[in-house]
Amino acid sequence: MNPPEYTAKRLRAFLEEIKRLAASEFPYGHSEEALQVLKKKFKHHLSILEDSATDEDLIEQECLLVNEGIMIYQPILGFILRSTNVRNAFEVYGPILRLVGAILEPGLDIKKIRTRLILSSEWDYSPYVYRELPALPGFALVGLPAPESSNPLLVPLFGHELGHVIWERKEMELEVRHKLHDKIFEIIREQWLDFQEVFHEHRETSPDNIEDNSAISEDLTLSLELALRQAEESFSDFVGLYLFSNSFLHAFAYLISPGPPFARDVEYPHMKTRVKNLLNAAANYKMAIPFGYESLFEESINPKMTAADEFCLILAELALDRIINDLITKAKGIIVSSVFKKPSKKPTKKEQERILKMLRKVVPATDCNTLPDILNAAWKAYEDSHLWEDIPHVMKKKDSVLKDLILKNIEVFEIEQIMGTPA
Amino acid sequence: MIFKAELIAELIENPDKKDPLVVVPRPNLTELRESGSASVDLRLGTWFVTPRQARMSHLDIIKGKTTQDQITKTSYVPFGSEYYLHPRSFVLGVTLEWVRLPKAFAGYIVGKSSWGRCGLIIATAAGVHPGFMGCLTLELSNTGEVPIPIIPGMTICQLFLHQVKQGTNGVDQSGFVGQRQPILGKIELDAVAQKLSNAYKVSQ
Repeated sequence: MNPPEYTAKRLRAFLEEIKRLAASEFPYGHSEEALQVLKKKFKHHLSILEDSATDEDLIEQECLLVNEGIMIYQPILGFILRSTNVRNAFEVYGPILRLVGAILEPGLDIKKIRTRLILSSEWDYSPYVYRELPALPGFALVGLPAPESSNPLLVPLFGHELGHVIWERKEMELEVRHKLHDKIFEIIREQWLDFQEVFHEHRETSPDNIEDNSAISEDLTLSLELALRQAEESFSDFVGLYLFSNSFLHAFAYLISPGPPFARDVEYPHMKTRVKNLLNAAANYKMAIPFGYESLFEESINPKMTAADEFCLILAELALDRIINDLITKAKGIIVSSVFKKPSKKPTKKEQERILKMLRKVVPATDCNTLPDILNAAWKAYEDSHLWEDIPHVMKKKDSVLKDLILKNIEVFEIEQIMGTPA
Repeated sequence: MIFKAELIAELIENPDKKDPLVVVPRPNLTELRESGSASVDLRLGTWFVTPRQARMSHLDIIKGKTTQDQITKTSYVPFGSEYYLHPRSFVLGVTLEWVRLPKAFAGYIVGKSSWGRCGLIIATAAGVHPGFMGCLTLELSNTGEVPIPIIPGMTICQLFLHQVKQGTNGVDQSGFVGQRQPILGKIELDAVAQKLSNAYKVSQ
């Protein structure tokens, strides 16, 4: 039994897997680059383990680090592998990279953007984003559900995932944590008796100066963490909505309505609350709301919880509600000052109608103003039950033709961007 | 009557509102007008389809028992990368352009002669029917002696257009309409071929 030897052997197998993956056909360079970064990191660990001069304590520490690394990055290797699968809509890569660049590194040409983007697919129900991983700084990893990864109608959901990337890169948690903390204590003061009823140990405590009471702060940790997670999800919804307008609402409903059939994940707001917040944001952003949208969703069920945890959850939701308008404004502010800095680069109804007119003729539109314009028109085309009625052989395979047509439209948009940039 | 490039450019620039001729991404219309040719150049797209030789005894598409995914492999070659077509090998490519022909037009695809002289043969089934819309599948074959790198975005073939004299109502009803990727297509025995095939079969 020799744990360091086992670890070294596992590490060699991991590096061998990276070598195998490096031989894949990569649709773009960032996936390949991620593999090289991981290879360098893990080769360094191997050299320490194989060095006979390394002392035992360091070896043991290295073993733990390697185990942790393999545990974290093995799923990432799978994610990178799936980024090469031809089921993905590779045509959207360039436009999404431009969006990410415009938000995180405004003013830089696409060739100079330092952010690395890996678009892939996940064997998961929902789109997924990996938090910035310590070994892959500057990489954003976003995936759509595998069976939907070629569906361009779901591209607006990348907006939500980009929201998470913005949340992290712009260190929004610090600012929002502070606000939520204040709101939670504000509510506690308002509902002091209810609080005492759940947390008996504070029966003798006065509501004055409760911020300085470490026992209360500890009891409210769950509230703050849940409020933060729900705030991040809500903010990400608003980023997706402001970036992609109506098409985001449609894609959101396509994937989520009427709601999950199981108990809700409490890191997200209640389904009805989430939808109500989205619609408030849409009204704030002066966007048209699809008719009957709210009725597409059912209320989600809470999981079984202790009375204290349930109280913390309610508290988190009340606190979030008090800062929700700030998040709506913040999301808009970030997009307005980056992607939509030039007002001419904002999606418009007129442009959407122009593109839709071309889609009706079964041709991609040229000179499109923005990616959201294309996606908004695409959703309108999809929702139109009379689309291509006059061309029955095309109407018969509406879904597949529309998918290919939209992806081609997105590719044409990207080609025009490339051609419009100096060599 | 084959259309001169100037006329093709005019039809692309000022399309019929109801039944337009469309080539997207748009070719450079000034260059097209000045080319003096009778065709419009089309570029190579990013998707390729190759047979999975090791997984099949033969190409069994007549019986319709196999799907394209079972017998072929799809590849994506991004702009800036190359696809190496080796001697005596065959690949389905696709035009970068999405083309839409009006009901009164037909066309045919011909390889660029400069490629042909290198051994790269493009398309044998070259007809494009009235009302076609989508990207055109290209049958690419290297008949030369050395591998040829082909690059998405490069001009690879030319589309000749001509007017259809009679009957402007029907349009291309084939299954090839509205695709952005190369497709294999189905080959089916029609009633005549089926009758001939069954002529001497002993009934069970």
